[in-house]
Amino acid sequence: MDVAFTCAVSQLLDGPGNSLSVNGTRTLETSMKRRVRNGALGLAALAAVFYFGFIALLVYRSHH
Amino acid sequence: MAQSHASDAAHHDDHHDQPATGIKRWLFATNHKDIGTMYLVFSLIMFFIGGAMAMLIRAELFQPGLQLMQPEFFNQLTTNHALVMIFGAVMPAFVGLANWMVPLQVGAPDMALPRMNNFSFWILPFAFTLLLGTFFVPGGAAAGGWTLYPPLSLQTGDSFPMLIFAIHMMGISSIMGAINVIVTIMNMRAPGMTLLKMPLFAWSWLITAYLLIAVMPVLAGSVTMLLTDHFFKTSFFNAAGGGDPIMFEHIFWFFGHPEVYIMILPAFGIISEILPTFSRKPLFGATSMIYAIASIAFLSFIVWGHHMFADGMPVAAQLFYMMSTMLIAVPTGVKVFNWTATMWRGSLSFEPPMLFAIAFLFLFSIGGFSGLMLAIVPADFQYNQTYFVVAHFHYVLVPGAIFGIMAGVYYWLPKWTGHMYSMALAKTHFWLSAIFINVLFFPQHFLGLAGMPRRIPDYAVQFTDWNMVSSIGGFAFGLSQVLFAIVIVQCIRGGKKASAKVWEGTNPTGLEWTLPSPAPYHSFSTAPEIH
Repeated sequence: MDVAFTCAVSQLLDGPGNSLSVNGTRTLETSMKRRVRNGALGLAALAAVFYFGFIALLVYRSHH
Repeated sequence: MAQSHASDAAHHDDHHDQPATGIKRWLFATNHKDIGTMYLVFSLIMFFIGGAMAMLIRAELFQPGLQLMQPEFFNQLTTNHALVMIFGAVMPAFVGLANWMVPLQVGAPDMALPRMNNFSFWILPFAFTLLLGTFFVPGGAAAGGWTLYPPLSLQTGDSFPMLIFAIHMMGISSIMGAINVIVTIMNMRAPGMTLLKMPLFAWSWLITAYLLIAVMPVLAGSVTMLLTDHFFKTSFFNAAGGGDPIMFEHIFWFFGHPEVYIMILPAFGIISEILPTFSRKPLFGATSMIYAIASIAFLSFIVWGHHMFADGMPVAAQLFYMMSTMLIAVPTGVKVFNWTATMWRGSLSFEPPMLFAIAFLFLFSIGGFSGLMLAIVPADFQYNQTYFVVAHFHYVLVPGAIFGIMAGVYYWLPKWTGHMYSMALAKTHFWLSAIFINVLFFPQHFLGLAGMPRRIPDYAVQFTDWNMVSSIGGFAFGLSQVLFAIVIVQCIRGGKKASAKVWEGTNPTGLEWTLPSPAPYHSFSTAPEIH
């Protein structure tokens, strides 16, 4: 079974806490999960920065 | 131990090879195809709801004077027609296509975050129930235009918080969908599929997803500030309290202009898939197409001021926005010429997806040219707030975005259902749509140039004839969309079996065509190798 498949299916079925164990793929699978999680968190943080950033900019502008 | 885990895994695999049955399949769906289907069905429903509003608008405008409704309700219809079509029909349709096609095209077994995928879809029905529910609260729905400019939008009645909450939910849904597309493409491509080998549709969605993440929070931030102005006595945009309503327009259009490209870039990707297939030639200048999409996306962030020329701004700013807007014609021209060069001396055939793609090419270009006219500052003062603007953006969004979606649906529908659809019915749908879209929107150029203002339920008698023509076009275009629904339903229920390649005699490129039709519930259990 390939890495991408085990990674996606394990998320699909069991969530991030319980990955499918396939010989030789566990490290790669964990690394992909980490990349997916970090990527998603990074992008969500970017969206939050735009949201709060624009509000902060206008709060600042209204006081100066 | 490892073996036992593998056995458990196999058991899990067996259990989840087939979809759940009944309502649970859809409520708890994590499969990208199921979620894609739900997005597409949802957007079709919204397309008909938004279309019904449009037909009411055109019915009222059939003759001068007030026939069917009071001006307040007319304004509510124009506002909500736009919100429903943009956030309910066009955007979810593209997200649905991305859900279906991005994993298939990049060779991934599913989207990277399937549960978030489920959540981002199921937010939408609640958001739109809330939005459409505003028609039934005291004071009626929002009537200040989809742009929500204060102070007008702050005069909305009890529906105001519902509207703002609905917009926040749509934004959250879009951002989650965009995150999912990006992490899927960046992490789950098949071995050997470098970014430059990726199909154009996936590329267009990758860029669109970044646009979404950058601008949807800006819309959310601006409507949050409207909310605090309305309920918590802040004065971000309230001039009486020292606020600046023009600042709202800047922030809104910083979101609004990229939003236009969010609705058109995935269509560019779809057209770039279809034209080579039915021209039986590779896409001309594929790499330059990617750079053109990226350039358009970048430029979309620096041109928002062209929506506000008539507000008044320094001449230097007017020049900057005019020039930068015109600059967008360069990468757009690259795309149009590349598409034309792809068809040049090709062995063309005219199946429904190709017909829609060619109509897109011609009609979107008309919308692009009228956009160039609007970019010219002194001319914009003449066209601003007239029906010319209405004609312009409808040419971009209907034969642009919506024809792009229809082209995509007709292209991939046999891959999804495993059946061919009725070519005769689909071609009839195309010809009726292509003819009546022009009957509907082309006269609006004349009306605008003659000075008919937009967003009015009544007009001077000299505008009657072209308004009647436009309304007849509107009713005919609207009714012809019923055929689209019929073709889809027939295709789901049965029909001639589609082969894996679907379009025999052509040479479609992309991993999706290596799978049988319909694509299996779990595709790519072994990652394909790309050479």
